[in-house]
Amino acid sequence: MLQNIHLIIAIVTGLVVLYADEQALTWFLGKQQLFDPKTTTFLHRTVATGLAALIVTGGLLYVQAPAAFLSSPTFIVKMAMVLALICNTYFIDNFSRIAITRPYISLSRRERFMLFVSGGVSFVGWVTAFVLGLILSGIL
Amino acid sequence: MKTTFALLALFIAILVGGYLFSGHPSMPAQDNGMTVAATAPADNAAKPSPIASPATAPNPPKTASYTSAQVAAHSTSRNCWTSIQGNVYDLTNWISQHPGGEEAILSICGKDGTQAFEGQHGSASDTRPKEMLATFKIGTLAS
Repeated sequence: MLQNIHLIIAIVTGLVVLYADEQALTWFLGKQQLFDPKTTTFLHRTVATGLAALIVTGGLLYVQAPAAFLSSPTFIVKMAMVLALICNTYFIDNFSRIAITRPYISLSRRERFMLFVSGGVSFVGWVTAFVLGLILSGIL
Repeated sequence: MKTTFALLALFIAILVGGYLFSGHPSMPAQDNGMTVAATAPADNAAKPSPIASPATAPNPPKTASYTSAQVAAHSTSRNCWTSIQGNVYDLTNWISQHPGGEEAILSICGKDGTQAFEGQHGSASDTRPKEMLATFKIGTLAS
């Protein structure tokens, strides 16, 4: 039951992340000069809430046998990905503020580099954590 | 910034707090020398357990009796025992092979797994899980 809730939250949050990435792509390609502030705030809060819900439901699964989970390499790598995603929320927050005030073309090389690093961490983090979660639950 | 700190605090609190307050032994796999044996099914029997003590018998009798505390001392993925319906099983080698995923086995390491097993494999017609489980039996749970 709890595992299913965890999985559903992961799927919903993942879909929101995909939509946010699609929006970011239109900004990056210049099809959209600026992000809509309301949409940006909504997406950022939704993903952060989804991540918090995943931490809570995942935590409830974890506390059943913490020692066993902490000794599982699959679980450790998954937690490393979750930690990376949490830290990345700081950069995502900064970039979403930039995206509502400046077009992509006005970004400096350093800002563009940071943007791509943050995007890469987000993509790798979500995909890896999701796949490892499926492996842990036996779906894969 | 606030969001990041809030998520980080939640993550660390659950990870560390869950471990500290779960009641699991901090030094798993410490035993009296008689019971730290990774008894596996026949195809895995030749593999020595990385944590088995020199005094460990490779195949202890399946009639050996273990206390709940001894079962609880084997609560990691490298040394996973569970008790189901009064029997004790060493599921260490089964964790990565379990068709239902690692999580289901990890969640019963070091504790009574009767409810979890019955919930998933309680059907009388489905005998395969019970037959598979029997191959991992290492003894009985002392009352």
